[in-house]
Amino acid sequence: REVTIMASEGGEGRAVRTRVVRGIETPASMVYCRRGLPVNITPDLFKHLPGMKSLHQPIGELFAMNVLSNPCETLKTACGLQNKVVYCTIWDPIRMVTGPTNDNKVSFDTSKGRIQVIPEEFMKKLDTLGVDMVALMSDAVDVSHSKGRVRKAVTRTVAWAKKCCEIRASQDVKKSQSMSKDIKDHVIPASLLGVVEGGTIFEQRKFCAEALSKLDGLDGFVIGGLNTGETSQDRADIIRLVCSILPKSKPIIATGISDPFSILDAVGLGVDLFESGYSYRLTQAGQAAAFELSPRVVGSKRIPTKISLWDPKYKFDKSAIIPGCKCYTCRTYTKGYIHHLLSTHEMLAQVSLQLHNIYRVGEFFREIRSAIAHHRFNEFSKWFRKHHC
Amino acid sequence: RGSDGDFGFRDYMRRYDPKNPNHEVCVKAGIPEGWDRNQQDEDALNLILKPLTEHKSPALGFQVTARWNGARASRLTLPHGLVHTPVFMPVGTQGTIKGLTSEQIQNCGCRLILSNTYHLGNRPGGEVVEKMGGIHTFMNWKGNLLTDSGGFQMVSLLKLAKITEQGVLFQSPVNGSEMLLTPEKSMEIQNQIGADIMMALDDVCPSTCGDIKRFEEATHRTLRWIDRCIKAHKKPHIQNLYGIVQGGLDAKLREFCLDEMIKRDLPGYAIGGLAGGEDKALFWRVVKQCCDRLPQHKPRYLMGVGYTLDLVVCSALGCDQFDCVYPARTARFGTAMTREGQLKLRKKKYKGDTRLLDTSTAVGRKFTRGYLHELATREATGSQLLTMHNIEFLQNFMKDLRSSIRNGTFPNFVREYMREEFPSGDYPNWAVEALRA
Repeated sequence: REVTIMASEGGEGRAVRTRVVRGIETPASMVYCRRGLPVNITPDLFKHLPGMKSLHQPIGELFAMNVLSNPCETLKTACGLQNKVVYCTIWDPIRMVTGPTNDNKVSFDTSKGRIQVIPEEFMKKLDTLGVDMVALMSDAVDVSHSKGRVRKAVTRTVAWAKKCCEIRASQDVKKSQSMSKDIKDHVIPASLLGVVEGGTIFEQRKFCAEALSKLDGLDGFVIGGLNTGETSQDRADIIRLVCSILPKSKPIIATGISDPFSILDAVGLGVDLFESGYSYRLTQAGQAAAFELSPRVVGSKRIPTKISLWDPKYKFDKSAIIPGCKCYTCRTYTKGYIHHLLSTHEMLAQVSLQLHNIYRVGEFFREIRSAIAHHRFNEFSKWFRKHHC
Repeated sequence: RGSDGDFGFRDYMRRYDPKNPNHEVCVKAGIPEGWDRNQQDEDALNLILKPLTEHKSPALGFQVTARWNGARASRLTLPHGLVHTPVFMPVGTQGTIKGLTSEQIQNCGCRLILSNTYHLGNRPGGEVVEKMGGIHTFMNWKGNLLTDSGGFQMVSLLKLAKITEQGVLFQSPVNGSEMLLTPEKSMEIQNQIGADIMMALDDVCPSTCGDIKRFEEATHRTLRWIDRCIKAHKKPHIQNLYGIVQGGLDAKLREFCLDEMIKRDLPGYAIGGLAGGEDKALFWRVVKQCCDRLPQHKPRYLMGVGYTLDLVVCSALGCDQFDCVYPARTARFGTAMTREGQLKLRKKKYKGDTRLLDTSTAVGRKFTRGYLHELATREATGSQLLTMHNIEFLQNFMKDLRSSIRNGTFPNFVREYMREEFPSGDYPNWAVEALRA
């Protein structure tokens, strides 16, 4: 599985770089999905979101769903996602689905009730699904947990990661995949990502990161448990610490980061991919991403990064959400119309806001990648902070 | 203009410039012919068919191009493009068909959709829609639009409505605010909305009500109101006002209403007061009576009819336009309309079903029943996919119906449809009688 480095720029600790991770150029954001498809986006709308290449599908529901009815199908063919990269985690960025864990199992809440899974079952399920990247079983802890609990969580996480790598190494992966022969040859086995847990307790984070870096079977890492109540200073410190320990050749994914300033900080510290349901959160609140990316347009103003279309001042507004934006919503609908859709609780409000938000966040990351490639990421970051609030 | 034999063929329609009535302005209509993959061949075919009848109003052209007994296949030209009839119009009550973008509605094959005056008048309000450029600009729909006058809400929101000679006093189910909907007010809001076809405000009495006096009152009041509507309608040169024929299930009342309505010489007529759960044997007789009596060269719109069986029978009797909330609503409840009948996708038997939904629609060719079983009613995407499928299915169905009328194979179409819909042969009596007539 390829990780080629495209360009890099010296940053603090780990260099800021763009890479290609399983076909996606990073830094990038992964779009939140439910039951296979991004929320409110049907496959015929994919053409309006050309920048959306990676999807984040929480795995809990997949255990309850009977998506794959025959061995010829993978998750991607069933849902029409052939060109996309699918990333699975046991947690869900929007709602609480992980239940209580013990030393042997993780549990998640699904529509069929609570399901408990051991490492062997977990790895087996992976093989049938045919996804691209998977965050291995982990025990997520946050600020509210005690030191003892955090220590236990880290121990479990590391033990499970080891176990999963062993299972993967021991089996002949191709044989165990229950897919039919003709697609087995085309499907690359899922990349395993170790999850660095530890709450805000730095020793535990350090221990976890060091233990996981030693595992050869892992293809990348996820910094879990972010944006769960810690301060932004703690968050930055955790990311800095973990990024400095983890091997530079493997990509890092950060969870929970959903505002543009934190994203810029994290990219500066070496994070490659982001999964937080950022676009979805904006849409659910009836907000639209409103940041501008071109100094020419902004001039010397300070612009809000998001606007709430519930605001009655938009009732007679005939302009698009962002007049220069090329997404379907900005080409087709006005703020006044979307305000009307929100007030009448019409589904088209969410559809059009999703189309805009996913596109706009995609544009933001594209700008970041371009800035890194041209060695002006720090400049871009400073400019963005100065002109947005 | 006199030698214009292709009225309605191209995507231009002549209409009067209100500032200078002597000057004809060529206005580019909304959806050019051939843009939607469903109807490219229909548009091409229509170029060569000669009309059997011809009707022109300032804002509407109607030409019947083929007939089979009572059924007709026609061209309906409206300010935003050409529509082939018999046509099914999906309902987008609040200025949107739930969950679908304008492009998706176009791709499903719709050229004429419906919206609701009462709801739009409440939220966002007629003057808002007008300021935003009219409903077409507001929702960025390039095709045609029809607005219902608010009359149906008299039935659906009966407990919140008080009907008087002046108008209907509604209490909003959303925020309790009151709106007095008079014929003048309905026309004003509909003028502000700017739909291509407007419906007159009529006094709607649900057909299941047994009180003959109420029916008589409603019929006479409808006629008094139609005159008020005609007087209050400010844009007859770009918006068409359809009159609605009431009269309940009583043949004499219907005949009276029909005669009076025809005297008003409106661009088109609607048959109202049906589709409320009344006995089908009476239903089809009333439809037939109205269709026989209404002028042949003008379009007829049967309100509220949406099941495929009803569409087939009423097309055979001579109706041109239909609307119903059924396909979109049932999609949100997880039912897909297919050639095999209604599939309630949430049922356990569809779990793990590897068959594609239905090969006649874009959505149906792409997704399996098993996957849609998981999505239906649980995710927004499920609702969007099924809505698109149902609407496209119905549009394809109507297209086949129209083709069969043009080709002269309408009876075969009906027979085949009945066989598929009722494989065990239990055809409803009323349908059989109606089709024989």
